[in-house]
Amino acid sequence: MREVKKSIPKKDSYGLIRGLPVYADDLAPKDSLVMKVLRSPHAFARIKDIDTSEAEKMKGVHLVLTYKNVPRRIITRAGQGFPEPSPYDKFILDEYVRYVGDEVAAVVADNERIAEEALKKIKVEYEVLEPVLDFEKAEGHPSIIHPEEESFAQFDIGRDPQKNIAASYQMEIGDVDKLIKECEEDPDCVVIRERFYTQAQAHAMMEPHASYAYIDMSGRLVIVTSTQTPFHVRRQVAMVLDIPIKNIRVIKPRIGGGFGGKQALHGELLVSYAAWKLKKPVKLVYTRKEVFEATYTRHPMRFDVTIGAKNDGTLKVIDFEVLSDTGAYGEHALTVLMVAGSKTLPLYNKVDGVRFKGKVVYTNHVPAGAYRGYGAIQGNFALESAMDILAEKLGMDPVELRLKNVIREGETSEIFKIMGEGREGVEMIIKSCKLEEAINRGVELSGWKKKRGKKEKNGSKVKGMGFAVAMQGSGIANVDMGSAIIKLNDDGSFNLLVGATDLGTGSDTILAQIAAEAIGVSSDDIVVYSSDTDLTPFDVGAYASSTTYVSGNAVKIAGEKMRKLIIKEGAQKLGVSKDEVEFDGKVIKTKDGSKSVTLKDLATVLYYTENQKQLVADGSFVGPESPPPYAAAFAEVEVDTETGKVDVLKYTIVMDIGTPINPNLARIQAEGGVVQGIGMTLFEDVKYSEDGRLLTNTFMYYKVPSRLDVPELVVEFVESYEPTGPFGAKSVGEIGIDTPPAAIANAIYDAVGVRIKSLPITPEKVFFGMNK
Amino acid sequence: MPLKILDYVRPSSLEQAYDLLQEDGAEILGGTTYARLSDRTIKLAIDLQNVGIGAIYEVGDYIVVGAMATLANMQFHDLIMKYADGYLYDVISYIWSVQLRNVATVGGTVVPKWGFSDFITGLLALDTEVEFYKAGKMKLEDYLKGPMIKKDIMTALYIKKTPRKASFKFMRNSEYDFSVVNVAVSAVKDGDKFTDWRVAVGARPGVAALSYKAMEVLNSSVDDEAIEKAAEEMKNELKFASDFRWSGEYRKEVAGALLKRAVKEVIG
Amino acid sequence: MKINLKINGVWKEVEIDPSDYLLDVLRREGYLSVKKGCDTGTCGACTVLRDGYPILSCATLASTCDGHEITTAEGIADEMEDYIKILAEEGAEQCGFCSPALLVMLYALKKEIENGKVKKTKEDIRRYLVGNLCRCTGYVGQERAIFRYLGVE
Repeated sequence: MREVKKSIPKKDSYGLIRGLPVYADDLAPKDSLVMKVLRSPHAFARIKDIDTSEAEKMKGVHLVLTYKNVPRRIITRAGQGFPEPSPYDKFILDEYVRYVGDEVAAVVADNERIAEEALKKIKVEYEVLEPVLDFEKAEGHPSIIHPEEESFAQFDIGRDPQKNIAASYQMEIGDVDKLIKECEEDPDCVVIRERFYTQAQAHAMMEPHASYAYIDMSGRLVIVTSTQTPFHVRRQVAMVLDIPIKNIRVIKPRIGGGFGGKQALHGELLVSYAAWKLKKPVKLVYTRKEVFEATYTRHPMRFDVTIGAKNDGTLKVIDFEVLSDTGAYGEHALTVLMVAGSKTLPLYNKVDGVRFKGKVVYTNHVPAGAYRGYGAIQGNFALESAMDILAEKLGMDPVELRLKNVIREGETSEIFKIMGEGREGVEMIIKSCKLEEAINRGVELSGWKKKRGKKEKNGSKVKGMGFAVAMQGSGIANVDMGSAIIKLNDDGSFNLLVGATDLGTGSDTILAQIAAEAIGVSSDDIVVYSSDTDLTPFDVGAYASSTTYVSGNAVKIAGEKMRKLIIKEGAQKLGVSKDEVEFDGKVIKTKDGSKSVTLKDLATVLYYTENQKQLVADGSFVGPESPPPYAAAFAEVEVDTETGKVDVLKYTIVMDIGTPINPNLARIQAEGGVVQGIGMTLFEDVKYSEDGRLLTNTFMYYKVPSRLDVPELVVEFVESYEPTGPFGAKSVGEIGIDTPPAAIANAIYDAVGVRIKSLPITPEKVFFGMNK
Repeated sequence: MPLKILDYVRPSSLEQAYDLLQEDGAEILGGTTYARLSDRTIKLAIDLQNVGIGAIYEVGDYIVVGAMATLANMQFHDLIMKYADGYLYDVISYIWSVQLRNVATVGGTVVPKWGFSDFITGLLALDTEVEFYKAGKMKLEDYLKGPMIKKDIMTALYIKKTPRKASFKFMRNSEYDFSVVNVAVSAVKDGDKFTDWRVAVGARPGVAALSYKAMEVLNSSVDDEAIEKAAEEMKNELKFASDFRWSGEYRKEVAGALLKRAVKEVIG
Repeated sequence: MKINLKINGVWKEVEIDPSDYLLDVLRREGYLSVKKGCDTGTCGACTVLRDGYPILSCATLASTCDGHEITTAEGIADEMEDYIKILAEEGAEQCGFCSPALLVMLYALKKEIENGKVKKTKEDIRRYLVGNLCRCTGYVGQERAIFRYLGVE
């Protein structure tokens, strides 16, 4: 391999670091009208009356939108493939507002100041309804959050809006109740039952959501937006505005991070409608407060975990019962729930029985949606904390307990077939799994054996070690599709056109590397253009850890085809059969070396003189399976017993991601994921007021980790080769985030004997845990 | 809606600034760093950058810090670096970010009596006075306890160069955050004895206050028992309250721990 | 009102509203490297130099900068070529949204190290840069590049 397994700079680094105008707000035409949104001050209310006449009269105001003058077509904004597994429960604007921050009206004006003044002049009379603010009391609450008749699901997702249930799911392998009972009665077995909670983490990508729309010279609607899913945006805008897909173009410029927060639609519907109506460019840039209060969060969840095991550590049965809070709308309700099981439980594939059941409830909170880790991090906190508790009960080293039970290469789990995302999964034999090696390597690197259980003291501080393992997937099997087009230019370079969506991760770059490797040329000669629905082929977008594996495979297919085309045309040019030539990346020559033509010369000839034609190759890929990457993580913490403050001193994570296409970029995905996971574990507290207002709505109060909060981070890859992946690669985007909650919670327990079962683990919880 | 300013002036003398301030709706620009998102209107914003109150210098026993000096100006000033082993340099260097310390002024931080302030707590443990253009000088603790002084201009801080040893302790979860609670302690070293203890506790979440009872205990003894007692007295004397981030109970317990650490650091 | 700003070495007369913050004025004038990330003086993406010192342009009224010198990433990128190359080699710009402000901070930090105000240690450098949030990298990759650029062991 020459072009993959190689760290090259990102293709867009020149412009990004210098601060060239590359993001949606930078690119919006200077004369764009500005949209501002009036948002609900109530957690749940019906708009009795809305009077926009004063605002409309203002100089510089072009349009005021309310539920009365926008199309009433129900959709899901989830940004998933069609048919979506999320309920259709959202209108562009509605007479009901379902959380503080929900859209009431939108103003389009000459500039921001006028738009903001106009918002103040809109008079709204609300009928304030009793909100549902406790997700444990949502089911069957007298307030029904989605009473509208139009809402529905594309297929059975276990939805029951009359009971505030957005989705539900259950599956069982073996007779779980019976197995648990047997364990309880067997003196050679133990059973643990524990309850865990996780919070509504915010994505906190640095670039707030931004989009603008305008009408092009053909009268078509062009939307430039910070999205992870341009093709889904196109489809959904078409559906809501009743404009044919052919008349919409969606362009994703550079985007300032997403982490799942830009998978779903946000402002696109409103700006599109306004631009379409006014035939003028309109832009909408969210404030940070709006990003917090009115986009999406991670689904907060409650887990009831029961595990039965033999005294020798052999796991017998695992039972997960989950309650998930999707907030006001049901984006990703079912699928995040399912992933909480499907990307955790197969880790322990040798149990006699396993059950997963859960409900996702509507509440009057900020809606939850896709977020890196997507259920897996929530489930991992519960499962891996529970495993630590079990290890203690068994008197076993937590590492030994995992080594005895974790999945290995050549094995399978029935769960793979039963649980997909929103539907059945696919059977899968694990073809690459170096989890055992990762655990053993992590034990060495972290000093686990030397440090665990020692409670080493330093003044008021005590040290501890914790451990967790994790798995993810690589795209959604049989659902996620990516495609690529490669064309040869007349200087022998190539354009790679992909629908895949680089959110800052460097996916454009690694796809170029895959193309270069497949064609057999240098990555320098690949020019990437991505995420423009007019110019690039279809791709579901950047989510579910799919880009490297799904889009990467598509690129590889296209690259291999291009290589064949080059050889074919080269052979023709040399007047020999294609079996007689070889291509070394620069020159096509006969195997005996007698004749040759450079790729550059061939390209020039093809376009200008002989046998003229455009060489172009395509590739499409849908994953027949979703090979999991794995991680083994070891947290070393120091707990201040006088304040409860937890310092993570060192975090060691050893990962099996298959072949790292670009080791530097893979490492940064891992590091960035771990630090986001640490944020969720220790810092990112979410607080609501009693009447349902999000209080942690600024970076002042919602604390993402700063650089001073980051421990010594040791990242290593144990290399495996995934035969179904492009050049052996699996995914890397999400696996890094999954382990910190459990590994750190387990380390805190090791240090001070306090078991925190609800995230985040604030110093206050630890302090009062020690001083009850 | 962000802060709205109708008119802006940059007077060139204190007298002129004071006169302008008397106009209805006129305000000194200071603390606008924190006020960006406040939904209110200032009719006339008065910028003091040209009135000559930004300098830091010595007068007699005092370090004088002009109200328009930025926190960064103060942090790196020789007089501050040298006084009490650079105690105030340390206090300032942990406040938020470099970029903030380059815009936030001493006056803009002290005048509004921000409860979250580490800076005020740090100053309160020293012999600090605040000077206003018309109201004149007053002890910092009196200013903090008294009403807000409107329509006057803070001109300077006076920090008496008493030979103090001081220690500042704060508790934060993220290092880049406001303090959950903060404690500043100082004493005058007199041979091998420590006298004139000052104990200030801030971010309770109310603005910093002195614990006179803790000071009294420490003035009589600084053995382990006395330190323990000082912490208990402080916890009973001062009011600790909850906000949406931290409970009053937690703040109180942590303040006690920090007080003990600070006292121990001072006595060495 | 009209103010005069020396932006990246060139004096400019700019029409502003007294309520305008420097960030919005700079973006309006086409200095788009200056980013609006948070509105509350926390993320640091709006960092520019005023008279050579890094400030939060989102928390600074434009009017108060009348007569002052402002430097943005556009004005120093060429001088910072070495750093840009190293950051790119590490792949640590990631989404890039916080990169121009970090570039500005690095430029200021280098001067502060030369002036002896900031010690050339990892701890002091981290503390100097704490006001520049990044959600992509976990800072580790960024710091590999920064330490390499500054020659910190």
